[in-house]
Amino acid sequence: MSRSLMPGAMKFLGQGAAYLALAVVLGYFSNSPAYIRLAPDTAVIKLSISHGGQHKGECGTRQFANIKETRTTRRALQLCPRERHSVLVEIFLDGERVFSREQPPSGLSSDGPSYFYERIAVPAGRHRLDMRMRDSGRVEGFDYETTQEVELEPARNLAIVFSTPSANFVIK
Amino acid sequence: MTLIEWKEEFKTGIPHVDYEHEQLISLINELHGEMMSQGSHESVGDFLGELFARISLHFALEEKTMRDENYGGFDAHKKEHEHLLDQIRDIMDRHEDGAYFQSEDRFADELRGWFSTHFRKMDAPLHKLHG
Amino acid sequence: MNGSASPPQPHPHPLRRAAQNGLMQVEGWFDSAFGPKLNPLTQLGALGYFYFWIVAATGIYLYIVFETSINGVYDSIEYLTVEQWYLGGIMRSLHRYASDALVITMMLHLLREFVLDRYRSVRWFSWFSGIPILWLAFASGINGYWLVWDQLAQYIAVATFEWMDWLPLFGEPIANNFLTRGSLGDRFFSLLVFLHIALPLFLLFAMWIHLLRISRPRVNPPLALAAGTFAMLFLLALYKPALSHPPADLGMVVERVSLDWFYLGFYPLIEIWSAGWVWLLLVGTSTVLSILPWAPPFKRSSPAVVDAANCNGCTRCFEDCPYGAVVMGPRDDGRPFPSIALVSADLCTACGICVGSCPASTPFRTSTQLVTGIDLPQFTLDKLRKDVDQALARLKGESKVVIFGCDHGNDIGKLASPDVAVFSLPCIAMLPPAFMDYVLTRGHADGIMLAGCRENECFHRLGVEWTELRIGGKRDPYLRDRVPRDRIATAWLAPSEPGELAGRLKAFRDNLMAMKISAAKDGEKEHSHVS
Repeated sequence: MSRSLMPGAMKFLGQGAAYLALAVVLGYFSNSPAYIRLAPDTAVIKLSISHGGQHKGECGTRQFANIKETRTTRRALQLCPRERHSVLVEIFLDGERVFSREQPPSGLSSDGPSYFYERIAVPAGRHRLDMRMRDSGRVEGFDYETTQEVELEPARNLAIVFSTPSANFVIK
Repeated sequence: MTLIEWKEEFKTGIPHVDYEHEQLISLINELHGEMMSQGSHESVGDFLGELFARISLHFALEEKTMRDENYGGFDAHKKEHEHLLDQIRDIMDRHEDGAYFQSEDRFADELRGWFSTHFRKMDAPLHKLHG
Repeated sequence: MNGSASPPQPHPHPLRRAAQNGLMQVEGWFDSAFGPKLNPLTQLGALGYFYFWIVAATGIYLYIVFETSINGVYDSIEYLTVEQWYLGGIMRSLHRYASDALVITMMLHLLREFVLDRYRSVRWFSWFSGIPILWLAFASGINGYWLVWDQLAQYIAVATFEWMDWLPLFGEPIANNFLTRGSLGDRFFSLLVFLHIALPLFLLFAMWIHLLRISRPRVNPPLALAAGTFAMLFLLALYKPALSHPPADLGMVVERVSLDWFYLGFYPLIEIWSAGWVWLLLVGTSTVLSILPWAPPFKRSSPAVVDAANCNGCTRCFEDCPYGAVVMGPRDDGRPFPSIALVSADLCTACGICVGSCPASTPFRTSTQLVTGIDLPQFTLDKLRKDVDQALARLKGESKVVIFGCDHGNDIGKLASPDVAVFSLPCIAMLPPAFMDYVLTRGHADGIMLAGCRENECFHRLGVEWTELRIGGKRDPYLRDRVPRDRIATAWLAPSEPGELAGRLKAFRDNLMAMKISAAKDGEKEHSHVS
């Protein structure tokens, strides 16, 4: 009723061939060919900053017609704006600008931090890094600047973060 | 004149089995009536076909019930069902060939014999199971 | 044309037809080597589930023995791989290769069901529920690679989280966890380890959902096939054990990786294109795949309908339906039967197998209108009988054959001739055995040929199997013993084998002729004896 099977031995040869073919495919592609991601003599700088820009505007004093009638939770005397400025970060490698971005604050009310995360591929070797940040909404100049010399061996992964307590860039 | 009279002993106590037995008996009686009143070859054939269908349905339901209740005599009963269906088919084919032409009595006897044999042999022990 | 009982055989799009023919050819080769019961191509789903169990079992062992602290994990896996190569190492290799085999099986299964057009109309559910399986399987596999914490893990973990950070869902980038040496703590790593239990569990759940609208799903391959494929994986594990890359070091960038292309093939793409484009590619593909069942041509046959006067709740249709579309329910017609068959319209594919299983589907009944317990409104048994009667009346010749075929098997229209009548049904198992009895005894045809899909390839999953069992007197409704089996031929063939079908028909007809001649000779002998 069904088609004729191959004669006995041929059948097993056929099955063996099928299994072997699958094994070869599995064995080979489970770790080959190799993928080379980085050109030789290259290093990577990872910039990861999460920094809240300064709030826009001055804090003002509130006037109350009758403080006694105002709910206690609303009796704060200082009224500060929530919105923050955008943050501008620039990175210079040996005087040449390799990164510049102005990142708006996150959050629906624009009052969250500005997040930066960037991979920058650079040649290996000794470099001077100038890192600058502007967070006050000023038109010219920068609020924070740090300069540092680094020695980058090939395939080094260098991280640049910003430390708010010490108010400068930190290299790890 | 009915071929098969409904008797109390036909009652199994199971509503759907009794219903189908009544259906079958009335069908057989109608068939017999058609035969006796010189009904056309086709209409007798139709009745036979209808009977065959109804019996097939009845047996199918009986088999399901037997399976559900893990009836011990299932295999024998099922074999008997298949045998009986073959017998009906034989009757149908003989009718097609004109074997009962002017032999209505033979026809009636075969039908009646068929029914009571099945009932006595097979259904009775089955409904004893249900009490 | 003889026998126009069916709506015209649906013609698939030529591209799909070409693909089907190609697939059938390849399946034919596998049939020759493995036999239809062991053919891996016709049970890819079952093979997939089998590989999942291998991965789960080996995974449980590995999970129990490996150390989950960020500083201890690499060494514990190295120990398993190198020193305990005979147990832990083999488990690890089996774990990897079975996972890779799972990817191959899934993709082939997807491709096959698409080519065979088994995903549209009512069958959309199985297809649609497969998309989450794809995502969960890949996620589980990728997640597994993180846990070794070697250079490959470092690359993949960082790349994955950078890719996910592209979505504006998270505030601080998750990739910060991998920023530099010392960034990755035990706590976050434990989360990744835990994910490798959660994701596969969700995957298992999705695998369960995937089967819900199929009756009798095949989830276990036959023993011989399971043994063969396991042996292959085992030998591969011995020959080429799975090894780790050098240990991860977040202070360095990973330059070179030996990728497992089955799971990790997309990662280079993220770097060559961009995270956004890869998101678009994957989400776009998933969306397109998800809506494929509703792409034109949109054909939909009316579901089966039950006739209360002819249904006594015998449950044969309920047992035979391949899609679980028939359930037994309470009656509202007053007849004292325990239940009645009920058809779920959204599960019924109108294959007609239920019609073939119903004891009331006998054509010997009332000649005015044949009504049966369950029927297809667009393809009634009554019309089939009328067409068969007409065709039988017109048949001439020495060996008259009626061919009942199916819409998804060979195109039997080409075989029609003055002595051969052809009828195409939605599925061959729609043909009630009583019809075969009828055609041979009443219709005076010399033979019947049943042409359906190849074994294990039935479009409606169970049609060929049910037909074989009915003829063999093993599944109700039995074909009556008195029907001569030598006048019934079956031809379970792929649509790519019209030549084979024509050949079988010819051989069958020759055989019938020979039977006729020898019967005539016997008749003469008897005659001469008597006289």
